[in-house]
Amino acid sequence: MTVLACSALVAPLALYAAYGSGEEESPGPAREPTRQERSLLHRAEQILLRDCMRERGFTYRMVAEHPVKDAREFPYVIDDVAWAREHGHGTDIQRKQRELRRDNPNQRYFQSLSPERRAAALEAANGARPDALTAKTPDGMRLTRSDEGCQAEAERRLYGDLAAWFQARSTLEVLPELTRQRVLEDSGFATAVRPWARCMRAAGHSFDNPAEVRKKLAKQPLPRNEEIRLAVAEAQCAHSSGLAKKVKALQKRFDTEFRQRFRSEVNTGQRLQLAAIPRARSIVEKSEQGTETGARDRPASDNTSQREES
Amino acid sequence: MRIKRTVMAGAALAALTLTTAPVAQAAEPSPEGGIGAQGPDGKLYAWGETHRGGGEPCSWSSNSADWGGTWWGCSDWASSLHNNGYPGAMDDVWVYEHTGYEGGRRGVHNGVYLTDLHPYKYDGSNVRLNNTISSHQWTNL
Repeated sequence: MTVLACSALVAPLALYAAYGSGEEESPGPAREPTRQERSLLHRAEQILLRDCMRERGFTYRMVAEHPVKDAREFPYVIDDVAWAREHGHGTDIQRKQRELRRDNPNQRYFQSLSPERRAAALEAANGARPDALTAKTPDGMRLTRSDEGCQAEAERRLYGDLAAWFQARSTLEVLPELTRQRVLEDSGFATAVRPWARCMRAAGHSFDNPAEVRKKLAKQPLPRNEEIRLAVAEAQCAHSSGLAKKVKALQKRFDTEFRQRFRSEVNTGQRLQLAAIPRARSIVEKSEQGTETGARDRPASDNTSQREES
Repeated sequence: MRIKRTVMAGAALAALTLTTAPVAQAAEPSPEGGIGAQGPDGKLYAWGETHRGGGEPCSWSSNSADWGGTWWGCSDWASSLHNNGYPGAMDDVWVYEHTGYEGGRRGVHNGVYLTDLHPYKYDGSNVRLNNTISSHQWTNL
């Protein structure tokens, strides 16, 4: 394998030292990382994971940040008419996600190993003890994870303080879910759904709310053309009835509220991410310099079927 | 039989009336003793007691829209969870309150272990996870 041929000659500790050297910068005021910065962090984490697994004698193929094109959630109502025209309610995307879970290079590799090697590979990736680190989410859930293994090692190298990052990530990721539930419970949402339901009925689809559409589709999938017709009506009605606008306003309001309530944890998470960006940039640059072919080591495009890389 | 502790008769009867549908993706057999004894094999694990207790766990490497009935399956039963999948695409998990990926949901990152589900609720919901999870699917969180 030619990928990272130069780096592979470097002793593991020296390699990791190189990743972290000379790029420590003051993180400055906390802010949300940009989309590009998030992609950079993802990319660097994947490189570190791949290299660490390789050093331990296993293969890990890097995963694209968005392995299934156009995968997105509409937790309140579909409000993107163009997306609905292409994907309906997303059953095509769900099918691709299921297929990807069943059949991807890492799963194929893992399943091809003997039981003993599988256990060793998993321990190399996830660590042996899953309860070494603890984090508490804003709603009180206690999560644990290992502080060993290549995933922990990659995050430690990138974010510096693994325990603080685990806590911060656990907080940041629960906030959208808290917001989602709060929006759905808001009386303004229920009020805005009524004209949406009238619009849907006028279009020949009798549903009281978007959740009913999901339930019906889960129980009784529609042919693709009918699913698309229904999804397009849902999205068009979301706009014409004002539901989309109301949802956006509620989402912004509650997201701001939750971020304010948990601002200390949010700030910590953002600072850790921002501080990791120079390290991530260095890791990605070093990896690309050490790659003979270069093209093999670029992130898989969301538009391609290549979802995992060597 | 996957009954634990003292399953209430009413609840059990109610469960029986709901378990006529075939299991979409039954739990996969796990060797005795849970993760510690079997060696990890890259699945989502659910145990009937906290801290990986209660004997043999239920485990899945793919999605399951129905964890099976209370008497013979894994629905409404789990008290601890561990996502110990091999990393890669779709290595995180959503667990759901109801079969068919419905009701409250909670994300479990790859490598994360929930030692005791008793105190916790689905995201932004008032329903507790303990003894209520009935389906899951792999995702990218």
